[in-house]
Amino acid sequence: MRIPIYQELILRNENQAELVNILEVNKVGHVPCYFLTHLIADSKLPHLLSELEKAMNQIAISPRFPYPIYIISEHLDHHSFFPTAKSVEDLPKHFFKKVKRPGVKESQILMRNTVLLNKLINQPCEEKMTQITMWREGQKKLATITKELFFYQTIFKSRSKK
Amino acid sequence: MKPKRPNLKIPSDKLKDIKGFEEMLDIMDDDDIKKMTKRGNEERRSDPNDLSEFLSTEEERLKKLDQFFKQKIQNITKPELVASLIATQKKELDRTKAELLIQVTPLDSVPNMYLSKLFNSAFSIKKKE
Repeated sequence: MRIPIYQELILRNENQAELVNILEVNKVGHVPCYFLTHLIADSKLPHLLSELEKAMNQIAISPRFPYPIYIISEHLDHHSFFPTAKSVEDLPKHFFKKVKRPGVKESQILMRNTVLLNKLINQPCEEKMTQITMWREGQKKLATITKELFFYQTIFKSRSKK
Repeated sequence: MKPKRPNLKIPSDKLKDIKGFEEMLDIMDDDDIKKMTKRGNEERRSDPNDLSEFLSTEEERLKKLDQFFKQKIQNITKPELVASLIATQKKELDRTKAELLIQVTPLDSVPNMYLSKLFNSAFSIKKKE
């Protein structure tokens, strides 16, 4: 396993098959990484990102778990699938580390991390996140109904006191 | 018996600077040395570039993620539980609304009279002359 520090990838005008190849060769998902999009015209960016999304779904990589995959673009405020950032400096600092050769102790921890990482990669993280979203919707609905009920009960109680 | 002093490691570049002043080090007492070694340990512990520390943090993070996806999600996202709660609360809401309506709007109340007038004017059949 590689030390989990940011890996830089540059997006060009690739199609879905080429993107799948890039993702597999660079082991995207096994380490945190970011895609630079400065070589792509703004009008082509949404199409390319949807191609990248399809490619990631094809090989079952989550853009958030276990390691984040960022899209760096000055013209993109938000994306429904990928986390985005305006520049490399805006990325979370946690995964910026100096590259060092791991010693014996570090290698042992890396081995343990590999096992955990494979466990996580084999889990359908995105599916579970959808489950959470659905569950959240249910909770919101329940909260709205309970709030309304509380409102009517308060009126009911105040009237019965009179 | 005096407690043994820990060996202080002096960096090679600093060693040249203190040449001829080695005896000055004897001025330092045990407390000073303790403070120095303590500070050194703390600095080493909080070194942000320490690889093993970073990897240990990562191990913890991955463990927590694994636990979250394997156990915690299954425990909290039980849709049938939320659905039954929603159904119960909705029933209770309908009942409370109905009771409240009976209390607030008796048949001879002013809003009821206006409502009946409005209803009758809107849906009454006009007689042909």
